[in-house]
Amino acid sequence: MIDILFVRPADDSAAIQVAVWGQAVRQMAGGFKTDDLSGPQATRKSVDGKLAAGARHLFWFGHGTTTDLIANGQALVDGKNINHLSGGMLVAIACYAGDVLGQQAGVPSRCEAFLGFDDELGFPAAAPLPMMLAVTRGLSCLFHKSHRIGCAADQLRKQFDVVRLDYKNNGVAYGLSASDARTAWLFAKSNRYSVRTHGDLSTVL
Amino acid sequence: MPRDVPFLNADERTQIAETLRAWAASHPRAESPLIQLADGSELSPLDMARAVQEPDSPRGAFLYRVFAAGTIEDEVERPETLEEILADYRKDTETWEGGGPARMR
Repeated sequence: MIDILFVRPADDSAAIQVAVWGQAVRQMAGGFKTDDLSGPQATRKSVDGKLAAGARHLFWFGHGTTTDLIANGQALVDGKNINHLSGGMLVAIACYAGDVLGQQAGVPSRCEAFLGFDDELGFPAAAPLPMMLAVTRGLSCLFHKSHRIGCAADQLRKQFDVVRLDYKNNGVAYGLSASDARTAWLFAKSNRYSVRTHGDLSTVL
Repeated sequence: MPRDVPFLNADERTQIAETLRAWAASHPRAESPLIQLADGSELSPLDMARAVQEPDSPRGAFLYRVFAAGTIEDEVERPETLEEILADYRKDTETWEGGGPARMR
């Protein structure tokens, strides 16, 4: 049994960027027994195998739809295997999964809680680092303070607020024009308002 | 799917579409990815301008939600109107149309 299964498919340029965010989050999980399916290791067969062997929580960094977490057009996590978690949380740094997939958490399910987004997750191609920091800092209380998933959602929202001010006030330092910085600000604010949780918000790692 | 965001009326949508059309037409990197999305796609300024011309398309509807989210009032900063948000696009458009500096990567 492992505590946390990280899945980071990195199947295109955006997913490669988000996979890096996952690596940064994984580095905060030193006190936990973890496993990592990254790049070509992330397949439906490998995810199902790890879940069958026992994984309490799953952290996904990649693409998502309303119903599935996907790589190379294939669902690696969906309504079928989400129930094979061993009573923990699903954190999906991905688009849309908070809309349908996330709502399966705790209904009842072996997936007790969900944290993710109910719309597109976007970041500026030329300056993704602040958005990465929002995600890593937002999730850090799960690892460093044993906080509840509900707290992590609040922290994630707060960090997107910090980031949007950063893009607005320091856009030039990131090499962005005023309008491109405004676009980054818009997406940080959009990300902030699409953070969603489902299930038992008192769930901890 | 669409989350709760403020309603944008037809006039506001037209303002967004016209502003982005002019902005993309003058943008020095109009065809380069400006935004990456975790659905695997990328948005250049031209992609954004084209998308909002089709408000019923998934991408167009999403971009209108993004602009609508920009007008949500919270305690993080002074609330801004859509007009104020679009002013940054119009200012850069005027600069670029006039051959001004392009501070872009």
